[in-house]
Amino acid sequence: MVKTTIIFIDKATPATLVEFKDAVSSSILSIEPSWSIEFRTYRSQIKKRITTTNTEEENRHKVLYSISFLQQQRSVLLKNGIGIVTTTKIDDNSRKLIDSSSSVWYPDSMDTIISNKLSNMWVQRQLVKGDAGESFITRDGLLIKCCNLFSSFGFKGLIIELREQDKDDDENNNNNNNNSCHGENFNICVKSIIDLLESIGITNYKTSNEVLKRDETTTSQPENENTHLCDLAYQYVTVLD
Amino acid sequence: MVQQLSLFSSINDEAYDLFLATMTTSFGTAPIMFANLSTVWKPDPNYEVAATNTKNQLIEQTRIKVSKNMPMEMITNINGKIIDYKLLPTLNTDTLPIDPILIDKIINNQLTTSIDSVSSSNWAFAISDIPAAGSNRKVSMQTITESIILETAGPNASLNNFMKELYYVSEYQYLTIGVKFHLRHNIIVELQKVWDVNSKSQVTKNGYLIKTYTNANKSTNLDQINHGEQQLLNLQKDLQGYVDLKIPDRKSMDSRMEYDNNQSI
Repeated sequence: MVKTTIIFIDKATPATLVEFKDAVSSSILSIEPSWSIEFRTYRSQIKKRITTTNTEEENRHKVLYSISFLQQQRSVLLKNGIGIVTTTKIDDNSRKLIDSSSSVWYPDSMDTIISNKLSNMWVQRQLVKGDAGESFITRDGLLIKCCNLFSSFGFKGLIIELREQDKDDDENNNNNNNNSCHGENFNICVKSIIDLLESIGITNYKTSNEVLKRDETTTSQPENENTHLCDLAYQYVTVLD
Repeated sequence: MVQQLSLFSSINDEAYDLFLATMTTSFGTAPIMFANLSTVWKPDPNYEVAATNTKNQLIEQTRIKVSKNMPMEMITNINGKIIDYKLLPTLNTDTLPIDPILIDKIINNQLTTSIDSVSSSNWAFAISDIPAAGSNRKVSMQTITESIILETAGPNASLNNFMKELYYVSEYQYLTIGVKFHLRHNIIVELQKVWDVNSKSQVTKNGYLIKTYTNANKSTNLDQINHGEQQLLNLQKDLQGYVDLKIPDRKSMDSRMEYDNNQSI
């Protein structure tokens, strides 16, 4: 599986992004496409007909998270440790839905459905956006994505996503490099970025490299890019919520 | 979001061969087999939902339809037969052509063997409005809002468990197997056999449901909708006297929950 780690610095200023890029600039190998993200939280508006005593437990379960990865045209809905990946793009796999008359084509985002059709059940509480974030690959083969996040109240903080590169990319780009950020080395690379942050005076940050729990009872859930996207979304939720 | 324009009719079992021959020769297109499973979900009755949202707009509670393709390999009584349009007339009994245990497994994400996993984890998640009202309407017009689910992940992740998180519970499921013709101007003609999964009975016994429709992207212009309507009416005229395509009762296509009179706002 592809390892990722999210670092969120909520005590940052908008200029921290520039400082971070300056600090990391000497090790950049290539500039990658820009990226955008949207993070929404919804709170359920519904009441249980028979109230239970465990209100704290119930409150915890009332929040639904939606993380949209705009470049991939995919978004992840997360609630209670269960995630679903949805898309607004028809690809070869989802084409089967059209061929079998299961789908009517022209899909919308799940956020559209929740805010238009299920708004009596869900109220949007928070919208955090990161627009035109930057990304680059370091000489160690680490993909760094960074972006300033804004909410309706203004600047929210600096988010940094670290990801190990696919093996193939690694071989092509770094034939002679032993310092690859693969596997065991990934954590070392993450540590070096954290050291870098501390060198520019950032000591207050949240990180997450957790993954969603896997289902142990079935073997039917092979890992793929979509399950990885759920893990990544879970990491965003962990640092942003 | 799409506007689905449609007209419906039916034929009996005996008329199948002639209908297919008519369609093939008149429109020059071959019949294509298809199968899908529709799962219908309703708001969990254990929870109370307000009739309005925070902006005080009335939001009626609706069912959600979550559907997926059923690979033809899953149809149980093929017995090595070639899967083509000749298969459909043999499926004329109440017997579900797909093992209900398999259907259950699909919904609960418990597919294990390799033959099971022919099924992908993609689902179409759709909410339909009641078709547009109006006595001078010539075709049924229904707004359908849909998103595509690619994957469920996490412990015990399944469609069923995720719907539970959305406070929705399973109401009924139906299986559709049919043939369809893609005509010009994006008109689709389907002949369907439909089974109620829970009662294990065929809803279309002794016949076939005919659905002719076109999907217009609502976010584009009205021309597409008007054009689609005209094409459907042309088809209606072409088949007149042989198959009478009609507008269905809009109430039969209403997916809202019955209005709860006891609910205080």
